[in-house]
Amino acid sequence: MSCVSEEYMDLVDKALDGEITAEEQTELNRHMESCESCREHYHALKEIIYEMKEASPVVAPAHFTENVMKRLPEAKKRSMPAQWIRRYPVLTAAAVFLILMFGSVMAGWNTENDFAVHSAAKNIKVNSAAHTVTVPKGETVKGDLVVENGNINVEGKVEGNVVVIKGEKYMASAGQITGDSQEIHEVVEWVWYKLKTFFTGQEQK
Amino acid sequence: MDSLINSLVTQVKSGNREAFEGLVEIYKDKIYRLCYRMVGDRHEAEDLAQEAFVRAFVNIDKYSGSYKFSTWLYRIATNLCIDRLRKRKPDYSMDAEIPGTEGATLYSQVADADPLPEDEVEEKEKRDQLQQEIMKLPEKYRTAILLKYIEDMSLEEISSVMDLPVPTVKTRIHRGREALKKAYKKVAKSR
Ligand SMILES: [Zn+2]
Repeated sequence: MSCVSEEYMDLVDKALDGEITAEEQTELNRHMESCESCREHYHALKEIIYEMKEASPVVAPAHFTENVMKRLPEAKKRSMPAQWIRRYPVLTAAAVFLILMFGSVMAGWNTENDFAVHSAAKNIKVNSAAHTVTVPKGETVKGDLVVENGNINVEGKVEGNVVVIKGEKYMASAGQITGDSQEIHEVVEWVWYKLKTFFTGQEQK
Repeated sequence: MDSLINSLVTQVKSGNREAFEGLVEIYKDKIYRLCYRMVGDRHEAEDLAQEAFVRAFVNIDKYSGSYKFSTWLYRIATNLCIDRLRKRKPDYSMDAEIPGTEGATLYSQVADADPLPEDEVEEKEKRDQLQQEIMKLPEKYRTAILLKYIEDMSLEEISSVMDLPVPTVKTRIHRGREALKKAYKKVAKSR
């Protein structure tokens, strides 16, 4: 090759890749008018690309699809549960999870008997000896309030949910709860509550 | 088209074999053509293309849908072809001459299929010659060249089929066509 200019080689590549700018194309054209080797190089590559693109069409032989289908492994004979798991992986995971959760939460129902209050509010009165929480009259408690193994007297206002686990809720006439209020006495309710808080992350600890 | 493919893939995933038949019908020519251009032998190409589909079926759960199904299929097929070519290597080097007999039967078979007018015969010879030159390319250049010019893929698609960065793909295409040009020129001059 008589032309040693790398620059024009790059321009030829760019032209063939369709990445050349109009200015570069003009420059390349001007150069090729006087440089035979670049002109030859460019046209030879162009011809090869054209030939490849026009290459005689090749189609799959007859019965191709049929033969592929014959080669496929037999549908695996899966037992029902396995098939079920395959088809509904999310449901299966949820079911397994529920069973495990149920077990551990059940254990919690039987062993957790300590009085506990979960609340971000400072204006509640907590009587640990009597296992009682009071929302004083005229006070507003912001956020959710959870009482475990104790009772709650709502004389003021709670802006949020109130949950009483293994306890009673007493509402004074002036008492007010803006969110949901719930008493949990049964193990089933307890499990449901735990699952719900687990998934929604609502429980404050 | 894409939504049809996706729906077929979903059906195959849930165990519908007939849906897979649909996918084979859609892609058989492309995959067979790629295999043929990669290995240069019709029987081997048929076997490889079928195997590619079988593997796709068996591993369908591994296809995540984060790129096109065809990209995944091409990847399986090119890998199978490259494996086959590597296994062949002990018999003869890729850089050595392709055994003349094999090429001759291959191309005479094609030519026998339907007689062509003279100028078309000449054109055909040129193309067959080109296929033989493609066959002589090292497989890494060959794959890139075929995907680009025979399968008409974008650099991005080729990059995800070959699992290589775009600039590497580009270099391989440049080097591949450069090598083809040199070989082709020799042939043209010898005539
Ligand atoms: Zn020049």
